[in-house]
Amino acid sequence: MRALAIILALIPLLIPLVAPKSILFTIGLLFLFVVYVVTWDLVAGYVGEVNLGHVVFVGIGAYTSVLLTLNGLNMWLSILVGGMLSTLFGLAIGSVCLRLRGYYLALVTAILPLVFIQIVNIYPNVFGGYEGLSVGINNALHRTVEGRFYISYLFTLASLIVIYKIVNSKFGLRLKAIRDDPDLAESLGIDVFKHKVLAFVISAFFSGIAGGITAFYRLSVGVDLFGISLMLLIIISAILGGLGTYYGAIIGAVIVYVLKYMVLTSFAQSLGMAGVDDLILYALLIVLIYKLPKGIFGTFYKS
Amino acid sequence: MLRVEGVTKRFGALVALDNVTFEVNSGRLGIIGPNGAGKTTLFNVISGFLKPDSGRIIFKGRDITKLKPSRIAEMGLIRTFQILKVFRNLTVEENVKAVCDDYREILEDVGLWEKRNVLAGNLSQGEMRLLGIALALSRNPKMLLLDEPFSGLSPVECRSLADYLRDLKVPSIIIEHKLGELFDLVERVVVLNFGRVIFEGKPSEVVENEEVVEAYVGSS
Ligand SMILES: Nc1ncnc2c1ncn2[C@@H]1O[C@H](COP(=O)(O)OP(=O)(O)O)[C@@H](O)[C@H]1O
Ligand SMILES: [Mg+2]
Repeated sequence: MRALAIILALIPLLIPLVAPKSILFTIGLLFLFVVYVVTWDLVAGYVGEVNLGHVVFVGIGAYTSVLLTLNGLNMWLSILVGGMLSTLFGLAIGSVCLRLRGYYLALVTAILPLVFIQIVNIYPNVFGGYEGLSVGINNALHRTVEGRFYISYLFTLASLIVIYKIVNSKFGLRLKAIRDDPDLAESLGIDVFKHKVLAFVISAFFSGIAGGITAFYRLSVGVDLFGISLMLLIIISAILGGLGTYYGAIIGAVIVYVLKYMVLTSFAQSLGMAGVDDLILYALLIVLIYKLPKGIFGTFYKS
Repeated sequence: MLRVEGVTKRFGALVALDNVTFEVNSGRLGIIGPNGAGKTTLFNVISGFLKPDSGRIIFKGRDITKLKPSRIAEMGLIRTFQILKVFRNLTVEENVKAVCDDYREILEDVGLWEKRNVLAGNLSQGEMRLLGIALALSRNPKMLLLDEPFSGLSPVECRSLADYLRDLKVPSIIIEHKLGELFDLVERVVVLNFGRVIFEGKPSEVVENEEVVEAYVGSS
């Protein structure tokens, strides 16, 4: 599995040699989407806590870094600050909502995207309102699409390696133990609250940085990065691939992103019915929950 | 080592523990009593999962009443659960690995080494019970609280677990309704009824105590 993963991880380096620029651009965004999904799964799949506001981490990272850069701060530093702000926000939400058992995290995080979309619209001269803010090619990750593609690839690879190390560490094992039985874990000296918060904060940091990279990759930031549509794509991907299986989140993210942006969107356009693509994806989610609850990886790969 | 001081715990109108006081310093103490007497609740209070309405728990000279369960466990006071609890989606080996590093010896001791790669959720009831005890032991406890460790075990498993516990030098409190197994293991017995301690003494004295017999058989 690992050897296969390494070979697969190297293939994207060849894509710029064969793919046209528009496809290359989309694949670079796909990489970042993989990071959103894997970081969401770190909390949902490994800890068993559902964060319905994961896109807010992405959005905080994106808006913060763009605003700082537009005000003169170095881009990389801005992205880092964005990631740190996202982490602090995760810490605040996590310390309140993860203290108690139950659906508190899901309930609170469910409204967060709406709150942030509101804020962006209430202060349009700061956040650019519905249009969002554009970054300008001078502030891009790199002037060429190929350069940006490689940066996105490297960031994604680095994030995936770190998350892989985390889920396969003793800490990761304890997260799985907590998911299985929090009381038993607590009785054996595992501080459930601290472990959950730490996982949540790691998830917030990487998705926040991913948000910043996304903005400087596509040269714009907008409310779609806070959007419920993106949130649902993340959830569908993780469930399709298999929650808490690591590779599942990656496989699911690739399939769903390709399906959505390379197949269904053009299909919907050819029908002249916008939104049909999302409907098909939601239908897929419902079918999956019934027919393939363990996801692709969980069903077909037995460790 | 462990002192329970005047602990009272209410669930609404129900008094599950009524001014319970006792002390364990070394050796093994048995706790018996009819269903619903408050035995499990007592463990939940000692281990920090429930907070008492009044009274204190002192462990190794420290008041642990307000500590969270994981802190109490870190101090070396480890409990098991009456209902079967294992990390079901982890293998037997991973279960113990999540808690400590040298898992091999512990798994060999309880006879689960051959099953180390089996998902814990696929074990038999008896094996799950043993894994639960192995998990508690893997924390290297200073004191063990075992809640009905023999339930769900076959007679053979019962015997080997009893032998194992007898050799274990860790001070323990054992809740058990299989009185035969229990009385062979413990030096002292506390009897609970309706949340109150109605008897404390040697196992041989318990069966002669009228109030205890009445609590079990029921009086008319
Ligand atoms: N969390 C709880 N909430 C309400 N009632 C409880 C709770 N836990 C136990 N009880 C009640 O307290 C009493 C003692 O229960 P328990 O300690 O489990 O008894 P035992 O272990 O001796 O059989 C029972 O009447 C039970 O229904
Ligand atoms: Mg009980």
